[in-house]
Amino acid sequence: MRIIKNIFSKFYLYVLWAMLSLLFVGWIFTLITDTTPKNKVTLYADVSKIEDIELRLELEKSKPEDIKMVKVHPFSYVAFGSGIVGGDIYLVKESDIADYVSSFCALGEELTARYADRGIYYNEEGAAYGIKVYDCKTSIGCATEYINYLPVVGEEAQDYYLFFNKDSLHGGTLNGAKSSAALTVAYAFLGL
Amino acid sequence: MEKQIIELYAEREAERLKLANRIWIAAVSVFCVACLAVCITLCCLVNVRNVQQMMIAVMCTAVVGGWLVIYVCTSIIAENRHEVIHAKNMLDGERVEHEGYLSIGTQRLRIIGSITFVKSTVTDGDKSENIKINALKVKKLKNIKGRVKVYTVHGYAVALETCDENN
Repeated sequence: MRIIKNIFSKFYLYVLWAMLSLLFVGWIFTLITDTTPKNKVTLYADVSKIEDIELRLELEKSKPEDIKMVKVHPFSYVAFGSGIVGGDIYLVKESDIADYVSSFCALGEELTARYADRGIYYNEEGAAYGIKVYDCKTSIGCATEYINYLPVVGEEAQDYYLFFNKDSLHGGTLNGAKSSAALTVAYAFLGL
Repeated sequence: MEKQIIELYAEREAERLKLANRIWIAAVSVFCVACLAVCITLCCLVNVRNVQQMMIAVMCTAVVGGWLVIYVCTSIIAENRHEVIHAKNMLDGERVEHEGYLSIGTQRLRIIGSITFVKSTVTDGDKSENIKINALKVKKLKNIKGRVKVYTVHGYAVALETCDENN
């Protein structure tokens, strides 16, 4: 009884400590497990289920030396993170493309030609923006071992396309960035 | 009936409390260092696959460890310190004598940043004096009956003398 009384008389201290330590540990873990956008390539996937750790480890096998890590997140992660604008590569389903297409950069002739047989997403002006990574009719797609492209109950199956952020620090020739790590990671992804 | 003097405070007891506090502070320091060492070790063991588990483990260690330290500091160590300060004041203060029948109350009152005491009265005929008794010392006075002399310092009972009923 005395212990409980003591705890309740200083309850604010216990709550304050819990809040501060959670914030501090969270900050420490961000320092340990994350790095600046300059040193990482981030892939956001607008899919129902993704084995983000396994896919990350697979993509890191082919990461260039100038970056420290590849990060893979579902779109739902954005709610807790720095926002979708911070990514380099996006996997977006067809119905959502219109919402984001202004944030993506055009593919350029080389990439368009290289992946023309897979299917290309063209915008209203006819510029190539996305590479098809999943075809809902044939159910053939990239990295299906790690990504579940199937729709959630009540939704229709859709094609998925890969896009590059126009402000990516690793876009290489696509947006004039010094690093082309996003392209290297995208090639690795398209090869899975 | 033989005269009996009960001293409620002693220098030795204050020193014992002081030593106990030093031991508690040392134990809490060791515990803090151990918690920190556990957290650092867990942070060093982080890899891509176990980030969430390690983060939860570090958070639990930090929060629960911190709570234990807060509990020991705010209850055990702080209370011991208050008792030592109070005991020193009582030992150094000037004693005032009250004579009569002692009636010890049941209500415990706490002064923030000081000790817990019990309100009591010494009654001699129509005259009644309110005194305070350190809650931890009440046990020593449980068997006191009859007329007594109570010595107080700043209103707190510090010693008690049972009176010879024949006089």
